[in-house]
Amino acid sequence: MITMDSIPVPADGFSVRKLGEETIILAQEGESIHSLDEVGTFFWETIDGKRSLGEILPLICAEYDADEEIIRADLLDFIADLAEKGILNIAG
Amino acid sequence: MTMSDQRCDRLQVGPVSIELRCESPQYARSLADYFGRPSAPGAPDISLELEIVSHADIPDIPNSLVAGKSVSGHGFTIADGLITGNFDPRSRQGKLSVLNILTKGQYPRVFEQVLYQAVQSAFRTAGSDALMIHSSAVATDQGGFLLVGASGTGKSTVAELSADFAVLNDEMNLVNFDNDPVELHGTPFNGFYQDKVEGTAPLRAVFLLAHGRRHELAPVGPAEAVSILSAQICPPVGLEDPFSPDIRLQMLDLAEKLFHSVPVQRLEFTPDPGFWDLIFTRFGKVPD
Repeated sequence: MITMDSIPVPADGFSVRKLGEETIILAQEGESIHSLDEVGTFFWETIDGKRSLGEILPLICAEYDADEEIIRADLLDFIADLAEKGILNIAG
Repeated sequence: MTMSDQRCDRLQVGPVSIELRCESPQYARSLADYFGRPSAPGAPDISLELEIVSHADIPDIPNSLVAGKSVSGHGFTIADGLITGNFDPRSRQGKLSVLNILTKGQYPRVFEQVLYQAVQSAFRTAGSDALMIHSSAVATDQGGFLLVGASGTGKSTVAELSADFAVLNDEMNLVNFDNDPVELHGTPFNGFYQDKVEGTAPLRAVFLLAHGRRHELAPVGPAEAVSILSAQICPPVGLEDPFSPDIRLQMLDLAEKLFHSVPVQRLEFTPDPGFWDLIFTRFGKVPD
């Protein structure tokens, strides 16, 4: 279960390419390819394999003018989606 | 035409020509019939002897001839011997030995995949900066339009809905970056659309296809566009190349190049030709 104490860690086996303000994440084996829009790219770039979601949340809140609860929910969805795709591993 | 020429079918694929030297003039003619166009004139960029091999056992036929490939020196084996051959980039000559089953039923379209690899080899020998992409292509008075999508998104449907224009192909088309403006070419490779025409046009735009409740053109971000395009680009694997994981990064590079060459938009459409009104409203005037 993903909680705000969870630490998202980029998984091995993916190549990441930035296109302007957006990002493509490409599996090095298989056909998986995932695109991130500008907001998703900001979320992605807060992930360093050491910060917990609780430490990432204020970084995003400082960038985006939205209710913290909404951002929290979006962040959890984002992390869960990438974890399900194997792009992120979840520690803690 | 010499006896040797009669055994040859030359496929013109955009800026490059591939010669297939067949066992008989009859087989060369059957190839020309299959591809729906006469043998192209002029010297080919590469020349391949084509041998059709009889066999007793029925092998498994994979969907992809790229991943199941091994290369040793100039020789290659594809799909456990379904196709074997060799190609020397220096002499630009080679041989394909193809099990007979790939010439029957729906399997010629699998066989075409090795010809895609031959085209990639020809690009290299000719020094052409081009890509092939699974797509429909339509040439109009306003230029050429590429319609891209995964299987089931409607490439053949849009081809059928574009009968008022010149449909170049509903399966595989070629974008040639050698010239300015970038050129769109049909290819001889077979989709479902039967009335394709040979032709080329300056590429005006690329549309990413989606079924919709109404016709709509919408912007699409670079990451999503490049992701979709890269998945449809023909792997830049030549006959002489093994399949390597780096190929997907090369496909990404090509997709990015295409994305930066012309406008790329999402086209949602319903099964009627009215989407062309939208396209011409947006792209109606050929730029100076």
